[in-house]
Amino acid sequence: MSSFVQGFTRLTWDVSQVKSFDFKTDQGQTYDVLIDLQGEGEANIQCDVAQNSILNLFYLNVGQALKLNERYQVQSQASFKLTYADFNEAALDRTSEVILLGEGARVHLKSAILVQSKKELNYRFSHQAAFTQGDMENFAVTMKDGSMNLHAIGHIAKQAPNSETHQTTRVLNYNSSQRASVYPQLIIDNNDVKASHAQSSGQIDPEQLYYLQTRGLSQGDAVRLMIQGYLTSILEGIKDEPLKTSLLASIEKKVDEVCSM
Amino acid sequence: MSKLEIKDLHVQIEGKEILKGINLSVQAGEIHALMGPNGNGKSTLLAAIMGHPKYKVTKGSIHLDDQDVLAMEVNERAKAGLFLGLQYPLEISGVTNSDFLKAAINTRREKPIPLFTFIKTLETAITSLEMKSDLAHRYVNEGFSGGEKKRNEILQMILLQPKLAMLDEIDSGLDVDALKVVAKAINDQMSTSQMGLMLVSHYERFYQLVTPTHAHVLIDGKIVISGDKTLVTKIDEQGYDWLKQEYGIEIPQEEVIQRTVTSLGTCAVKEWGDASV
Repeated sequence: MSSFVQGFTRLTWDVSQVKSFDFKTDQGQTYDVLIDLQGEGEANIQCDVAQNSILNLFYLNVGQALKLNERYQVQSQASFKLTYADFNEAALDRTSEVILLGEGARVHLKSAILVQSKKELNYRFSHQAAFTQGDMENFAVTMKDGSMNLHAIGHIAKQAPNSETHQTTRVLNYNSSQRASVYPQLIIDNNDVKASHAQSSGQIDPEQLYYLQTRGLSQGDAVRLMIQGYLTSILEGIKDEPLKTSLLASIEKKVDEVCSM
Repeated sequence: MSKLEIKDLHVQIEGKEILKGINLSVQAGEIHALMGPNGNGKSTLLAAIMGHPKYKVTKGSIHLDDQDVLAMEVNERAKAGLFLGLQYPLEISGVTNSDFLKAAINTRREKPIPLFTFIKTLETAITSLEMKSDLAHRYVNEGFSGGEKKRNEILQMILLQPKLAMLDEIDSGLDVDALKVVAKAINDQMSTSQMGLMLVSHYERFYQLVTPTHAHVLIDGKIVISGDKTLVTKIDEQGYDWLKQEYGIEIPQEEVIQRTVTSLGTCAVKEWGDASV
């Protein structure tokens, strides 16, 4: 198991070369890590977020077909921010489990996905200690030929009183033919908790479209703006401005490409 | 100097004729108050001018100077200088006000607005409307109070500098202080730009703050009487019934949907249709 370098790091993980990634943070330290996922195939990722440490982990999927099994352990009073950006045409099968092991451990998962192929996603928070907090926000835009199954699970164990688990999933269907299935689940084994889930899915609202058009935007520009809005919300937490700008530009470029098809 | 010219406008919604021959001319610098009981076509007129897809123009014409408005798409109408402040502004989750406003401004420019200029312009408008400074980063109207949404409409009007602005019940949802702020912003815009203005409101208080140069009463899809500000005062004092006595104009009654009261107890049950509600 190796430690991340403190501060900001950008790493490239090639799944065709390495099948197992095992990382940790050190107590009380802060990390900003951006990972470009490349290659094709299956990989296991494990990470231990140490006590009182802060980890912002941002995955940008630039690879081919990937099958990822991810497991994160978050120790007491640690703060873990996990972001998934996937604007890739390739298929993706991702299972990600975040185990909140220590008291006061927190996770905030944000995902944005442009669905152009088959995406199988399983995100799970497992609250194992008291005063743990989990927030999950998923944004998906389904394009032609895309299909998505998303299982979003929040589990609060009996030994985790005063914990909170919340999740929101929003899906926007670009045309009527796509399929997106979202399965939210809250499994609560303790009475003294707060839990919520919210989900919306639908096509672009013609009234919203009209509203944007009354301000001068063409239909195409209005649609692009709405799709970009869905996807760029994951960039909020990125502190590095040049990085944020470049990611924003790449999202805009991608949305332009798929919308003009 | 711009001019909006509406001639013999007939409009249908879902096969039902709502506007039955509207003639109206609005010049730059004029403020026209559109009045009339609910359901007589005021909002329909504004929506038809803007080009809402549900409203079908079956007869008549609308011109903004020499441009045929009815031949244009909604966004082209906006670019030509028409602006509609909606009664119920939409929430658009995921799209920030900043991105939205920038995109809207850029549709009117050859080159995108420089970021610094945009931020300055936006900040000035936010301050003049006494809005929260985090507005730029919030999603369009999401989580806004009714009053904030209305201010956001005026903010857009200020930034987009239209030739003709139409404001549909912009005063509803505003408290007295907010109403003054919004009225001041509208008046400032009127004095700095050569804008024409069409207002729909039920309240004289608003017309005291933004003084109309013209007033019209719409009944059953037609303008039955036009005048100046004194018409507004008269309606505020006397309602619409005098129109019948003086001009023989029948006011169609709104369809009342009879609802049955079902309840387990009788306490605190208020009869539907109580006129004092």
